[in-house]
Amino acid sequence: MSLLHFKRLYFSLALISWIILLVNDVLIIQHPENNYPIIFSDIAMNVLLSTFFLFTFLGFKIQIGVQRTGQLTDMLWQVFLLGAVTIPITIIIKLAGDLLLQKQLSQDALLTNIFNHINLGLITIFIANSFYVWKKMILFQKSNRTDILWHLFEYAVLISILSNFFSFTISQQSFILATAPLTVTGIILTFNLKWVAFMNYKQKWRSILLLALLIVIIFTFLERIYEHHIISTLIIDLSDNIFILATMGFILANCFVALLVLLFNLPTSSVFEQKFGEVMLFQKLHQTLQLGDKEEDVYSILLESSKVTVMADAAWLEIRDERNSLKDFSSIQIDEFDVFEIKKTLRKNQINILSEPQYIKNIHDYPFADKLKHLSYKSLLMVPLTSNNQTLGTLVLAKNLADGFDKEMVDIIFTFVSQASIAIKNFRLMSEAIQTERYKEEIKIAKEVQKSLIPSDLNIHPLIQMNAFSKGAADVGGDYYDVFRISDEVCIVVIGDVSGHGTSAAFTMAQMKGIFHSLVHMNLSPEVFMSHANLALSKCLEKKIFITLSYFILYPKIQKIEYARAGHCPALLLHNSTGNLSVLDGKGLGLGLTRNQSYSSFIHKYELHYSTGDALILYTDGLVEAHNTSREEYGYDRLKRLIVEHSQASAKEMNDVIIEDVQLFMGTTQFEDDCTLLVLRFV
Amino acid sequence: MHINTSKEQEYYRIAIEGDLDASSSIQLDEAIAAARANGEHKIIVDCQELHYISSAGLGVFMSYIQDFQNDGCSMVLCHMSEKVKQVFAILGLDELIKIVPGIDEAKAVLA
Repeated sequence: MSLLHFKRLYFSLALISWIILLVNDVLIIQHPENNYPIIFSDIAMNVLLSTFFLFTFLGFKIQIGVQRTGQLTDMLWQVFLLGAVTIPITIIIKLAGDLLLQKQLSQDALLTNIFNHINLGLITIFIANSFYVWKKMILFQKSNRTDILWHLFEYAVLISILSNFFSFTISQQSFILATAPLTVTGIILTFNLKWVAFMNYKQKWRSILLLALLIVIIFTFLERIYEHHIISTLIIDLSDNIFILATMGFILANCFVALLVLLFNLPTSSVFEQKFGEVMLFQKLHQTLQLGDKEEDVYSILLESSKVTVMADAAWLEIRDERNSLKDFSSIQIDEFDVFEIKKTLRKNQINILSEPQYIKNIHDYPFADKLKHLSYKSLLMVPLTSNNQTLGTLVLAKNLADGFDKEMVDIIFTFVSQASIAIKNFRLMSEAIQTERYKEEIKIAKEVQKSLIPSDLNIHPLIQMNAFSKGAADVGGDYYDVFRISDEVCIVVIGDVSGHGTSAAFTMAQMKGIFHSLVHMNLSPEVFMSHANLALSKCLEKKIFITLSYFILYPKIQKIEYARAGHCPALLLHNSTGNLSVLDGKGLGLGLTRNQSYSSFIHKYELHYSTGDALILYTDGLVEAHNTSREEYGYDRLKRLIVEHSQASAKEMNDVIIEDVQLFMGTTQFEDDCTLLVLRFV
Repeated sequence: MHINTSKEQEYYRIAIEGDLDASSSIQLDEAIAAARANGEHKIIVDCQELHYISSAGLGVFMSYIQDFQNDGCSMVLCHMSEKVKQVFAILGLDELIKIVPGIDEAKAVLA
């Protein structure tokens, strides 16, 4: 059975008890000479009364217990509401009773008892409801001790229902002594008034009003009880009922104590409210930090929260970006012109609002403050927003009061400002991280694009085996090589290196590729190609950038090489028959070093012949200038020796051997400069 | 890298010490630009203590070739180590820039 079923059962049982009790009353009065024994009727009556009390209380225990605790004043309102509903009924009954009695001009025991009985029901309901609402109030933010105490008290109160079966004289000393522990517990519990602190000023006033009305209601009930007691002989006299009187007394005591505490709390409630407000503002500020709101939201929350918290008359917030220029300005109740005047005065007084927190008790006492005469602001609190020694901005609060900021206020502003600084810094780091991520993505694309600029197929001629290695120091680099087959008889191989590294070099390299492909099919002589390339590049190269390039025309069928070397590392030709190396170090100036017509006089064509099995080794300076940890360069000599040692290796093997040896020498596989190696074996 | 400048008669001497790489080449660029701005037109670059030159360093020299020609100034490099000289030679820059063994030869060229 669920709690709600129990509640219904309890209330039904209470109602049944009450009705039987009523019938019993009527029977006793109508048939005083009743045939059943008095004792039995007495016990039965007490049993019914007890069950009525018990089940009404248990019913309300569930009723109130399952309710969600909302506003505290709402709970008081609930008690009051029930009182407000029951009291008029009592009063109507009284008036009706009075009217009837006046007409009959005689005491009607039946009527009085019925009225009394109705009152009994109403009072019990009111008390049960009040009792359990007060339970909630008392146990608001309960401690373990209070919880235990309350439960003891509650059970003791419910047990005291049994007092119906006995007759006591309340004023008797022994009785007072016997019930003292319960009374004391009740009083202790009455002083659990934590809820008072959580009410704001308005709620406190409302509670005071409600409590006052409750007290009136309770006294009205008491008055009803005693009037019945005095004017008529009652079968059930509540004025003798310990349980009802005790609980009523308990509620009355609670009302009185709460009323007084609330009254005395009124003067301090504004302070509490303010502190509470600060906590809420702080929470709000903190939440903005957590949620992915905009950086601008932090500004406005900081500005508003700070101003409200310290009750400043005006405030402004300046936010600076990474380069210390003004990024955002917002103000409350002060216009930009006044801010400008204040700042000018501060500057004249050598006060830098960006450097450190500063407090001015009265700006009008400072020199050069003449222009501020029309302003009512006196004290100024200036707190810079900083993060990792970087100034993010400044918060300035102004008050019309001289020396208007106390230490408490300054402390809370510091906390606000540091929280906001963290939030702003986080937003900035976040956007930086996004930016970096985007750049990474861009670089990735650039890398892919550059990959596509390098030939994927090196099989340009059946008589030439070719293998290439190319690795950039960064994701993209300035090394370039390309191949082109003009005809069965003529093939072109080119290798080059753009000065500098990274993205800018990669762009230049792409330009070089464009120039190569627009000139190559013209089958120009190497030095003519170079002159054309130099002319084209001189229009688009940056001032300090140049390109070294070697241009080879291979005639595989007649085994001839024509080449021009524009400042590029000299190629090596390995003679298979002798195992000797030729260095192809013909003279030639790098592209872009001179940008006029004179270039053609600095570049020359060279010709040579090779034999089957000879190998041509092309490379960029990243290979020979690769160095080890003691800054020693790999150099030409090591390279030459290695090539001679592996003179019989295939193009692929030769390439691998050289790269492995260089990497072994460096002690790492990561090149510091762009490095390209091209090995051609003529078959 | 460190750059020392001195004036001997009409000759303006720029001595480079250390490695001339991408970052330090800016200093050299500034030194040459300053010399030009001062109206120096006989510049000797002393490479006695220059151990390494990167393409960025070479870029600085090349960028002034045209300017010097236009201004009627001249620049001579001297005391160059074999290694550094080789770098100039491979690139073909030795054809465009005068490189001599010592100060006296430099002065003779500039005279």
